[in-house]
Amino acid sequence: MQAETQLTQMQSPTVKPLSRNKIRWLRFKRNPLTLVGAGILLIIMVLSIIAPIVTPYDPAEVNMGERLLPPGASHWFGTDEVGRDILTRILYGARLSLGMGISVVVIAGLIGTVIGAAAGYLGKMTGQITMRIMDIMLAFPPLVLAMALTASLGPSLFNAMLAIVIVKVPVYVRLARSETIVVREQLYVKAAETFGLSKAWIIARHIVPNVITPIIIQVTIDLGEAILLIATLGFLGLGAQPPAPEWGAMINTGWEYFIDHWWYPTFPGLAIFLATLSFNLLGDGLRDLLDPKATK
Amino acid sequence: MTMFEMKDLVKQFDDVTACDHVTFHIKKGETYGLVGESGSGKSTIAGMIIGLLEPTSGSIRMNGESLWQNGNYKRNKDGAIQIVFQDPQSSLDPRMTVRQIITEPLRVLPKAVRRERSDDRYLANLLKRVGLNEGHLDRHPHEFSGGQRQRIAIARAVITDPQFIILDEPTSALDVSVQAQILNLLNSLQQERQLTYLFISHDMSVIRYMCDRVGVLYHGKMVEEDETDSLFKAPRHEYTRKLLSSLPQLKSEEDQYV
Amino acid sequence: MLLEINDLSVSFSSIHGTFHVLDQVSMHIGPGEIIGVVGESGSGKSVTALTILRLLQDNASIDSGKILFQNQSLLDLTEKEVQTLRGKKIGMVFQEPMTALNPTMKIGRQLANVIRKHRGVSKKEAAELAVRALEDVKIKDPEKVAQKYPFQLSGGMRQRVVIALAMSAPPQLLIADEPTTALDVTVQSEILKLMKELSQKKGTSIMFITHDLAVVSDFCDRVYVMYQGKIVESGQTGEVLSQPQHPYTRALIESLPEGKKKDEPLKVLEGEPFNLAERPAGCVFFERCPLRAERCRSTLPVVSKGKHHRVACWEADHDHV
Repeated sequence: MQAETQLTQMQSPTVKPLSRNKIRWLRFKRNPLTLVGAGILLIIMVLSIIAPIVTPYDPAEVNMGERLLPPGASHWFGTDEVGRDILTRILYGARLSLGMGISVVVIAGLIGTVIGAAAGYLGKMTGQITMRIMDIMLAFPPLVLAMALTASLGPSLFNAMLAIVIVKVPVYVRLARSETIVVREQLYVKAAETFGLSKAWIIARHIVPNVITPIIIQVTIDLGEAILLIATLGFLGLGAQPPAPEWGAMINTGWEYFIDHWWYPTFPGLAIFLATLSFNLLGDGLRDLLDPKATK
Repeated sequence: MTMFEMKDLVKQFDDVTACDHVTFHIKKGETYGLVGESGSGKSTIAGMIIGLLEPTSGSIRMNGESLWQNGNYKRNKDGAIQIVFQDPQSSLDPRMTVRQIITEPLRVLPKAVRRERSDDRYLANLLKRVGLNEGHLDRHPHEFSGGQRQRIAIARAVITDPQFIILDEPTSALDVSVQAQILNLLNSLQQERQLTYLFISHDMSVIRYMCDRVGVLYHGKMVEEDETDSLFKAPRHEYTRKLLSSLPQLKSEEDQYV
Repeated sequence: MLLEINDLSVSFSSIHGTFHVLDQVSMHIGPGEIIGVVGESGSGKSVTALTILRLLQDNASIDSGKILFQNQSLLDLTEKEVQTLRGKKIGMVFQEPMTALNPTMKIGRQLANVIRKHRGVSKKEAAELAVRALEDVKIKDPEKVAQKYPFQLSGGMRQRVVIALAMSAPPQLLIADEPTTALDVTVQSEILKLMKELSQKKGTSIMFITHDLAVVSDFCDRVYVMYQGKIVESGQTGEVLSQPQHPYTRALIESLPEGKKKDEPLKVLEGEPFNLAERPAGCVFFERCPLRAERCRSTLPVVSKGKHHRVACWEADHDHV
């Protein structure tokens, strides 16, 4: 109760709020782990973009004279079985892993939001049927479903992405629908209905913008998982195919050499670990940041 | 001249009859008051007139034309009927700017009208008319006080040049000093634009000030209807009398509570 | 004096800045007295109540002042001492009754638990006293209601139950923050009547917080009018409401539509209240006051009119009303 009264006090007409972005920045700064996550990601992204400048090597060029060299001054992370510089391959691979990871969850998020908003706003039947289908999909463990899908579609990076999109969509549909059910009862939606506007307009202009925040948070949190899934499919030989410098595929090949040449699978593994961890830190931070219920 | 005619209006929700054979009419240019306590059915009636709730039976006619035909609401493509809700906190989309909010009802109007009224100068005049200014156009609802938000809602309601506005407890969520500003604004807009109002409230003193005629609702039924003055001076129904006697009065002398 | 508040200042700090929500507020309540605290949103009326109850959030700080309850300094008590005080000596009723009720426990048991805590009686006795307490708040069929859950009752009934809970000790002071605002008028008048009766019967003082002047007029012996964290006027209810001295009190009364005809516009208060993060040095009402003069900008007087009537306005000096 006291919380309620004090909130009204704080929101009294006399309180001129700071701009939303200013508040977000102030809160963002307070959480150092979010900054660490964001910083690591930024460094990885920048390095992968400027990789041709950073490293003198080519990720695909075979150099049999330098095969399986241990980490040293000229090859910081060592070389692989055909003499390619592992650091270079990790940096180029970051383009694949991060790019794929981001596009996969963003696409799944968009599709899920639209389906979920429609299912939540339109009639009961549409919503019920959609949700039952999503429930069936959610009943499978994500990795198993993704594996089954890629195996049947044929192993390739594109099919791996497609499979992960399909696996992730139900998560966003469910989230978007539950938010929509709250939003559709808001007076501003009722008001829009009284103007005689189409349902598509109401979904696009009122429902989606007001349910998107929790989805953005979920997308950020899922980025780590998506990268892990892509790498896992690559490792199992279902995703990116050699010689593509994809982290999971690199571990797959490197694994055979692990006993005598520990660096080969270790560094790609560390890259996956670091990227996943950073996305999780960032996601947690964003959740605190964008959560409308957090007022402090 | 009669603008609205509600005849034998019934709304059934599962096992509750929210509106029970209500019949009344609203004359052009008047303010008709619907007063009642929670669960009396006043907002249900508003919902049926504005097209949010389909009547179970009975008819609503506006200028002779039936608003509901075979489960379809007929009259929302010309912006002739608008509504102002009680809570301006939730009746404005928090993600939209004031400009987007007040021009949204125009979308159902012909393109020429739309263009004319989305014009910066037109909007600036409209905002000024409701007591805001053009600097407010690109701000978001959370930057305004409750009274200012209600002004935005009123601007949104009049932009389509409606004949009729439902005012559903428009000042119940506001401070008294702000309530006075909003009531004055509503009255002057009514005079300027020859508006007809349906004023819904639980507050007898506001109803008395605003309305020409009043209908008293109790458990979904209209128990009494009269000119405001006679209703307040000589209430006939027992429930109306109870409502009036429950109303706390601002007394000048120190009376003992009875 | 039962309760005395002296020069109480409270501020909230948040990411938006520091808001001075109470500025040197002083008030007192005698035994058996019913006082009203009236104001609009942001006036600080609820914060005053929460400060007395020691229920302020962590981001609030008490910058100055004292609260004496039966000559005991409330602000110096330990959390444990405050807990025994709350409920037993100071009861509370808020706007939304559900916040005070446990939704998963039957009414009778909730009441019995509280009664046992306050009076240390046996379980059986407490159950009987609980039914008696429901009878006290004019609930018909108290035995039956005692067996119900809160959600099975109407808003008015729930508020009666909350009053029964709050009065079970019975307390010396009852703090009621907008207890009837969410209720229908017919129910409101019954609840007010009930509270008045209980206050007389048990000798409990009431601090009644509301935005509604008409309710104060009916219900309270004395009234404090607050604006933006400051008491601008106080005195006997009849005197303050019939001869308001402060321009804000006057504006508040004049803005009521009561007894006015549609063709005469209501008098309105121009402008908006100031930002609580930027308190003015002088009068809190300066920006919106029709009578403001230069000296109001920097200084704020307290003028006595009559025995108990106090006004924070230079204008009240002149006898022009």
